[in-house]
Amino acid sequence: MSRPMRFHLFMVYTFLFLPIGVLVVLSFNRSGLPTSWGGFSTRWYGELVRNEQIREGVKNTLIVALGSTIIATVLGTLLAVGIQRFVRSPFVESAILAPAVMPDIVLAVGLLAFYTMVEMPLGRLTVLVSHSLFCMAFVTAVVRARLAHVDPSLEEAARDLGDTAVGAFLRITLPSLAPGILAGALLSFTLSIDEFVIAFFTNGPRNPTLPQVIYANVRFGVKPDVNALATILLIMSVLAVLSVQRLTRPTDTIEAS
Amino acid sequence: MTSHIDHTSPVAAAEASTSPLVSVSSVHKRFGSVVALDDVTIDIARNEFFSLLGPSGCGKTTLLRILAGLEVPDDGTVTLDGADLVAMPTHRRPVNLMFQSYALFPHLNVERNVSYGLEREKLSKSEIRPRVQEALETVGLSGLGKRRPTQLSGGQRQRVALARAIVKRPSVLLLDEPLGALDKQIRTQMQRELKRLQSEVGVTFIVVTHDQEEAMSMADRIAVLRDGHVEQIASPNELYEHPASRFVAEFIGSTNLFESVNEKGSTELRCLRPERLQMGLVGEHPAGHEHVEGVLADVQFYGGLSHCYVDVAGRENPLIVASVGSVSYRPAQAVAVWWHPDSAVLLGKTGL
Repeated sequence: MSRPMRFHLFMVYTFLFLPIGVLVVLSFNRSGLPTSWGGFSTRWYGELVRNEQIREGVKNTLIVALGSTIIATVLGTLLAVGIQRFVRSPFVESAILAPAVMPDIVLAVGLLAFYTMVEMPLGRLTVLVSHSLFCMAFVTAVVRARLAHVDPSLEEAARDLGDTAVGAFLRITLPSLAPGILAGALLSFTLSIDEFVIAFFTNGPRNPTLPQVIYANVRFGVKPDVNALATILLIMSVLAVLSVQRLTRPTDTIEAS
Repeated sequence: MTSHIDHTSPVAAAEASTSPLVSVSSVHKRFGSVVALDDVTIDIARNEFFSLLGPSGCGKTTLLRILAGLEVPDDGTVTLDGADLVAMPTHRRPVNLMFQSYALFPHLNVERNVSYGLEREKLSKSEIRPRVQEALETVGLSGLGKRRPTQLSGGQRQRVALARAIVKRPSVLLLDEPLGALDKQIRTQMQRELKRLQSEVGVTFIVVTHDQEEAMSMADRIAVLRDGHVEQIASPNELYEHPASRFVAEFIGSTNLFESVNEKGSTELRCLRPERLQMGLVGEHPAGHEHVEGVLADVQFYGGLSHCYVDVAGRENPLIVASVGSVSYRPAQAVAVWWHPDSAVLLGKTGL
């Protein structure tokens, strides 16, 4: 790589990671001020734990994220397998990705209109359903990518060896898809915990999710405990992304010749 | 079941041994507008090494999948030992298929792959273990039981697939292009091993292949399929010496075709294999033989045998003459080719 290019790359990465670095450093700043360094301290992490509002937000977010991850993973996996087997229409195939690529704001407004129409009271449940919807699109995409590497004769072979259709699906197809399914689940969880726009539109007033709590707080200036919270979220998403990368690497499959 | 027959009259016993094990009768199958099988009738005897041979798209794999229960025929009957096979669900059929891709389960090791079918039969661990070991030993893979399929070579994977199919002790073993993915060297070795295995385990083999040499060298009988229908069912020798149609004559081995018009004015087609032709100098042909004159175009030397290509005026394709050893004639030399009239095989109307 040439010297100017290397410099360019350095600048891009600095631009990308400097704000995040500052945030992590500030979360350990004793003074709590963004302008002066008062020494290393974990006191803001302690404040965070004692903050009633944030604890409530974490609880709501975990309920929504876990719930929507489970629903999205189950439905998304079945959808991926179903599309692979029965759908020959490219429109239906790409339509399933719509919730993933559509602007969040469009989805959010649409869902809000839908819940109002069916008279569903806004709250944790409506956020959970909304998150399941767009996460499902991601799970389907990831599992379908995995399916492309799995020999379609595997399940037939299991049935030929005396297994029922259901048994063959559970014992052969699911385990061969496991890395993809797990990657999809992790992706869903990460996407759900930091989702703001859809939650903002489809949540009721009583159970704000964590991003909503943070938003409400920073409107009156960034408090140091929010830095600490952001650092924790950062570590969680980095771990999730690394695991997804590992899991979606096409290893341990026998290429059909 | 067999013991029951033994105690009845000798006539019944004789009937049981001659009645086919697998009987495919008037089977039709279409996929949308494509006709995969068109009125196929084949009987396969017990312990036979049977081959379904044909070019790709001739319906041979569809027929195999119908026997395995992975496809359902539109019409016709399939019986195994007299019992209706079509009505039997896939997982209850005493038939096992070795897939062309081998379809080994990637998340299970070799032993678990092989024991999979026995575990579904709800056999106890103490029954399963020795049978798995025995199957692995039969295919020459003892000691590799703990490996994952990804850690094996192509030939070893093929053996695992074979062990997994025979461990169930099926009455019929179906093999879909079993040697298709292997190098030429291993192929010849595996051909002989499959043959040995078939006589050792005493199972009826039905092998699908598009490779006529493979079918000819292994099978007791071959069904040649074309566009979903059976062209001819016969032993390899019979197929070679007495092909029923132009398609069979041309698909199997090299052939020379002669067109002629009979007394009734209709065109007849005769086939002469290269070994039935002899080549010599012009005018040398013995009495009572038919002959043509031509020019030697090319000689292909195959070790013990040579194929000589002779251009004859008025013929589109050169005649192929097989001769033992080296050829003393030079290309571009004028030669005569002759044959005994009795060695020409009259081909049927099919495929003209």
